[in-house]
Amino acid sequence: MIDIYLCDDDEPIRRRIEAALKQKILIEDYDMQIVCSTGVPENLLEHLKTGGQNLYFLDVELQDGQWDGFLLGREIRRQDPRGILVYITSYGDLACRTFQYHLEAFDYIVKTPDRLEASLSDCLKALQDRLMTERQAPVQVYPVRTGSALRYVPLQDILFFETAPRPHHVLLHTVTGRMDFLGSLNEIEAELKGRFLRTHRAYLVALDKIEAIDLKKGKLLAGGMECLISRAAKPRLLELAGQACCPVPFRKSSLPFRK
Amino acid sequence: MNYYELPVWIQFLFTWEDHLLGELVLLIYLYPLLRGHPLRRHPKKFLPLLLLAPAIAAVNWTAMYVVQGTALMSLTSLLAILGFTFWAVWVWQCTFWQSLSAVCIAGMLQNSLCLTTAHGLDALLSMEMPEAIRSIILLQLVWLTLPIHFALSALLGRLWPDGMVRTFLEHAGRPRQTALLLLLLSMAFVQLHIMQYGIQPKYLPEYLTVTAVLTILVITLLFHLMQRELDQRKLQVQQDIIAQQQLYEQSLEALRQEMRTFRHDQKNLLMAFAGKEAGKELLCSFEALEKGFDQRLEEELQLSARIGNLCIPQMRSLLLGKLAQMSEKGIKCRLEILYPVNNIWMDIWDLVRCLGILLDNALEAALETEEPWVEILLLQEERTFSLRISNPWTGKIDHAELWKEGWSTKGPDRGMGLFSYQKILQKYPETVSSASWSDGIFVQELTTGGTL
Repeated sequence: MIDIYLCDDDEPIRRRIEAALKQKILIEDYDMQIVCSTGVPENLLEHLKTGGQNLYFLDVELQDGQWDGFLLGREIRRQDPRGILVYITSYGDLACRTFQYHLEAFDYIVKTPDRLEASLSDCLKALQDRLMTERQAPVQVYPVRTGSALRYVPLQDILFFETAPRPHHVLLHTVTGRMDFLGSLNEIEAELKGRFLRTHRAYLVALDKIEAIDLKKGKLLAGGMECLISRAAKPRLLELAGQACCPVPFRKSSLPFRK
Repeated sequence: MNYYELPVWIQFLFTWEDHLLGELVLLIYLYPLLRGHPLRRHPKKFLPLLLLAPAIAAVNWTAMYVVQGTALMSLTSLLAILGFTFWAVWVWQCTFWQSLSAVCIAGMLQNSLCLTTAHGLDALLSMEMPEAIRSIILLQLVWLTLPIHFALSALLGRLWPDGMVRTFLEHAGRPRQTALLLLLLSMAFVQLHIMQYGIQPKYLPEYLTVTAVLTILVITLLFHLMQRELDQRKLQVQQDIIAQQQLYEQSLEALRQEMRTFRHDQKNLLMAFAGKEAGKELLCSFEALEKGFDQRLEEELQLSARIGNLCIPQMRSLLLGKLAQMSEKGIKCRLEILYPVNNIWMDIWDLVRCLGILLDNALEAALETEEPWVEILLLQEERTFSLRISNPWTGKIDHAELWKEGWSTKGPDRGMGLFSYQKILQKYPETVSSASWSDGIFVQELTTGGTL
């Protein structure tokens, strides 16, 4: 069961949203229910129950003391990292990308009088679809905090972790890019036991991403990038390379290294 | 008993003490000149300074057999300045020339103020006693004057408006020339210091007065020079604001033009439909036109409202310049600044450089695509400031090469950008940066903040 929370200080609009949501849930027989509908952010936070899957419809232009739409979303994110946020606004898309990126807002609905119901219905449909696909093929993710934003990197995208030149910083190389965050390789290694191997003091490499190993030079290739291999890690690496879990085109030396 | 009749090791010990004291006073004056309080965080970094004193004392001792008198003192002073400079480079993480300039200013103050306080003490110490004992007691008494130096240093820090010297040192037009001239000045003060041994006692007050007046003159002069530099900076900021207003005016002008064409179209339409009984169509066409106009108006006003949220003039003028550049090249730009930005937890000029590099990269890469756009998100929160720039890019990226010096999509030796970007960030251990590329979109992020 998905619990829906609704917060908008414009009373008539909120009634309309509520009605539209209820109608769509009834027609499509979604496993959802509205548990809280309020115009006061404090009320929502008081009623907030985390644990299950929650869905929040929040007004961007909330005007209530210390709370506005963004800050309320931030607080909800803090208490319920897995919650799904949908924002409703009356002023076009003034900051929709900020909401999308910093709060991982799922959707951003504009309060156009004639399209509101249709947008809400589309949003619920898209959401249901996403939840279904996620349930069928759950993706394992690794949470990375870059500054104030928490991001989930799919484990299958990670190539390797590397200590950064700056102290306490770790560089995460993925298939699509590179991220810098505060952390320590030791902690990450303990967290991600199994799929990753500490090939060197400064490198934690995903086993299934190793493309080639060059023992002579003490280097390996993952995603086209070179990582170092320490003397101590060599036997373990060889053992894993021999097993099926690590299908490495393994040759003892003279691999085509790009320079 | 003469001082030079004392055992050699005692003499060495006192030379050491003398140098240590001198360095301490220099440090007291140096501290407010450079940015930040690194010694508060890493008190251990102070330790090498303790080694500098015996090292210079030893040099003093050995060089005594080669050179003597004024040349010897100049040599040791120069060495002390250089040693101090390298130490400051290490502790404050500043450039060599910045450090040298700061050390020279501090050295000058130390020289003249130590001279006056020591002579003042000498005058107070009226007891009759052997020369050697007197000079040693005097040396110990000088330790007591440290609070005076602390007070003077704090006073100077107050007199010079917040961070003036630091800003001046960091942004001086010719850092090398400034540093060398200051070194010359500092060495001149060393000579003045040496001259005390040749002054007849009855002219000592005059000599001290001249030294004090010279010091005050030099400090005032430096003050004025820095003030002028800062005024120029202010002028630049004002020019930026003027440029911004001009841009605003331009967009207003564009709107006015559009208004005119809109009215023109309206007339034409009216004429076209006047004969027919197509009231409904007329209404629809009107609505469509009005909608388009409203949208344009809204976009323009929103952009200026968003820019208005950026309360840092330097960043604003850079962004305005880049926005103008983008509209000139036909790049669509989306800018989101949700909250006012006034605190970025980083040196403004460093952040401006970072922003410039990231925007230049985004611009260049976006231009290679068919429908170029750039998206800029700025968000200041309670304890962090974050910056996210994204653009489409169709080329291939070799991640391994991306962060190396000289990498660029345009071929070697063009992209100094990302490398110097990384270099700037090295100064700020709390900042976090990332670059990623997926689905044809290249994203650069930077987060600065006190606590992450």
